[in-house]
Amino acid sequence: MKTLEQPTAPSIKSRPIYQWPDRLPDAGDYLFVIEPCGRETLSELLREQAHERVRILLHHEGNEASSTGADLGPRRTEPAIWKRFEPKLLETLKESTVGCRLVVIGSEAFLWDVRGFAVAHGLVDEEILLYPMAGQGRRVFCAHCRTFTEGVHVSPVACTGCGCYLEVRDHFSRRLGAYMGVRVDAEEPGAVPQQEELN
Amino acid sequence: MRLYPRDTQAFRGHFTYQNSSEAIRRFPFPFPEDDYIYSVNIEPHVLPGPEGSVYEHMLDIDEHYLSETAERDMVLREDPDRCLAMPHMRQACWDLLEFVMTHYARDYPQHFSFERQGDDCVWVNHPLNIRQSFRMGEEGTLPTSPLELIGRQVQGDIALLDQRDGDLFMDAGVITSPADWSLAFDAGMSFKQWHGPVPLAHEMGIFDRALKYLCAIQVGGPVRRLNWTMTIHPRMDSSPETFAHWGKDRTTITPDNVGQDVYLRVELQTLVRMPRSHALFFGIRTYLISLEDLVTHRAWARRLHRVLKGLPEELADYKGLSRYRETVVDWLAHYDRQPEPQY
Amino acid sequence: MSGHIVVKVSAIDTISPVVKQFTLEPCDRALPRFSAGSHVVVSMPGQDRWYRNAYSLLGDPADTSCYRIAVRRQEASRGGSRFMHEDVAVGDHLSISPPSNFFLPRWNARHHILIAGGIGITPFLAYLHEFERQGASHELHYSFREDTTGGFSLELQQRLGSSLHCYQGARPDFHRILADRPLGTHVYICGPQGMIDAVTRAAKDMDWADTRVHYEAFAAPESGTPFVARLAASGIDVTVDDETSLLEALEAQGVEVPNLCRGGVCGQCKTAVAEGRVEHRDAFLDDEERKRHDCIMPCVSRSLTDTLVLDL
Repeated sequence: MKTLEQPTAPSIKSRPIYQWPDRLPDAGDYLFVIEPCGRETLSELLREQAHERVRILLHHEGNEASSTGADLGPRRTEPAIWKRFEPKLLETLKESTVGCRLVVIGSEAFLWDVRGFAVAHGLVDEEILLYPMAGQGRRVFCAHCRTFTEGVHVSPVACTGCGCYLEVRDHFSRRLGAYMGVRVDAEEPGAVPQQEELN
Repeated sequence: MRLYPRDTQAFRGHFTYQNSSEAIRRFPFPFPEDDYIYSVNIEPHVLPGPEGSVYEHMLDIDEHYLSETAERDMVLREDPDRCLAMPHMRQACWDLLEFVMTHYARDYPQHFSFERQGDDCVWVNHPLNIRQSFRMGEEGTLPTSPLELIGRQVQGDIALLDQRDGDLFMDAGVITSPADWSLAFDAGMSFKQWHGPVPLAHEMGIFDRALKYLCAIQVGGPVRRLNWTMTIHPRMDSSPETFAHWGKDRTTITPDNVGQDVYLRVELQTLVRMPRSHALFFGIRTYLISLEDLVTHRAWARRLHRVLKGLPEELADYKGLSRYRETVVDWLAHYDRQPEPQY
Repeated sequence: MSGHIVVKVSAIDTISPVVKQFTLEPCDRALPRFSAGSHVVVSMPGQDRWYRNAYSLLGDPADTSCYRIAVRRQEASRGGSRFMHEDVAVGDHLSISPPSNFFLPRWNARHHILIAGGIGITPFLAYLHEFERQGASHELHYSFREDTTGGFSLELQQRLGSSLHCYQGARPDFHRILADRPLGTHVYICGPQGMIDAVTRAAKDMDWADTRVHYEAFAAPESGTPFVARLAASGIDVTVDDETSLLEALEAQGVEVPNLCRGGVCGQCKTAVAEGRVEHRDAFLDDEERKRHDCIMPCVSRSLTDTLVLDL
């Protein structure tokens, strides 16, 4: 599986450590919500065993665009795309009952968007499994203009909202599905260090 | 006690903030020893505390009340997201409003009054010239949310922590003077998540023990602790949101201005169980003192010198002191000469 | 103990032949507000020692003009419930602790299923006040014997209507109660251990996550084998008989140990152990801490060895 490589001991404790089993635990009812990059992982998981009830919801488009705002709702994948996807997800959750397990496969930001929406509609974390796919980059929250920059692979990165160079910290908000980005040259304006690959 | 000067002082721009000698005398100096080591430094908030001290009342108010509420108003106008509450915190927000009104009116009756008959309430805040009639628990009878209404009248930041599954969650708050953390980002986080960036303490088990202790707090058993950092100028709003405005101040410290421009920043944190919701009130009262004022107290000057000198690098970095720590330590060394031998 | 509140018994109502409800009014200071699911510890002077029992507050949390508790007379009473039934009269004063809560409703749940067995109904009476006020979706399953604890069923019928399900002398089918529930449902159980076990088993069978299942065991602490607690500082030996908790035995000797829940969950009474092995019965310590046998929650835990040396 091309799942994300993760540090065994993250430098900041808010960074999630994902526990994804190769084989899904036995449960009567599975709901899979995936992005296209998660297809292969999905079929590997389904090949392993049969489940009584399996529903699959595919989120078709990527999330390259950026958006602003920090309202209390869960931070959504690119709003226009999410708007089309949300009613389908809502309908599926409404016809689910307690005992259902949710499996989300895709970019890290997408996982937390779906998880946030599901928790708001009554699922609990113990019932949710997250499979982050490698190579999708991070979502970064600009602490200053509150824009989300998606698919970030390097730090510092230019904020798509205010253009400032942001140092990408490992501090992670599950509600926003995003890492904290703070202006890297705030102390010495113009002193922007060399970009480094994020792990 | 003197609650406020006539004119409000600024925590920005020309920084007209200053402490009276009384404010210096009662400053909560946070170091019990020459070495600063992490510990679960939480203790019962036994009331009333020593007269005139910051511990005398449940919620301390001092001469900066008007200045701080004016500053808070400015921050909230620029950035309304500094006040947030998740829907399940509704009861907790009402608990908070009642808690603050009750204690302010009881402890500072010359400035506040809170009369209640059943759910019909009248709140009067003389310093801010506010008179508010409302019905407890009915949102429609207040001009704003209960959290914002009371949040604007409290001196200090406030957060409300929901308790579930043996953990605490930052699910509501009004945070306008944070020491470099963002409510917009940290909202909804668990106790260990929002303490994520703190170095060393996780490995020492500090947060495991603190969390167990805090979850066990019951009605009538408030606790408190002191926390500290340093700030350039008396800037209350040292938030990540405004980092671009204040970050460069850290590069301006010289031996000539260190006494006036560097401030020790101490937070008196109080944790109180809210009675109806069982949420935990997390109050953060910030006290600022310039090094110049601080060294008028010799024992403080000596101790701060030793603490800063021995502070582990990770902690200095985390607190944002690294660029000017040496300048401060050199300046304070003057106050930490060997004592005269005594015979 | 500090923080104790003196209250006056202003009414005693007989709910059933074995259940009495006590209305407690403040004497010297206003009663603290409380959250649904809270209990108070009532201190009762016995012949040779103090009894301290925890009782849920069953009144409306919005009303703190008085507290209300219900006491079921336990056949194998260690003294507390018998005292409340036989020796307390209207006008008497009692000493109670401030309210504590280890059984809180989940404010973010979308539907609440309450399952009560007998006198276990009491915390839910307070829950119902909050749920009604907040318009929160809920239902109550109440199992009781008519002659003992059914006394609340008439009042509940009027308040709950069709969302009350009574089971007289019969055990509810928990699998049926938990079947096909919308996401966001949480279940709360208060009743005998057997009922708690049966509901948690049913929940597990039906893939319910543990964090959806909440319970409070109200049963009296189990008895155990007698042992001797030796106080390291003074060398005093305290005998702990099979019906007394270590905490009670220490208190009877005048040894004050800070405590809150008296039920092994809050951790306040944690006491260091110098020698001996501990029979841990609390829910506070983790497995690592248990294995070390260097501390004990004297409110519920006991000794595996004849003598336990405490750092007191």
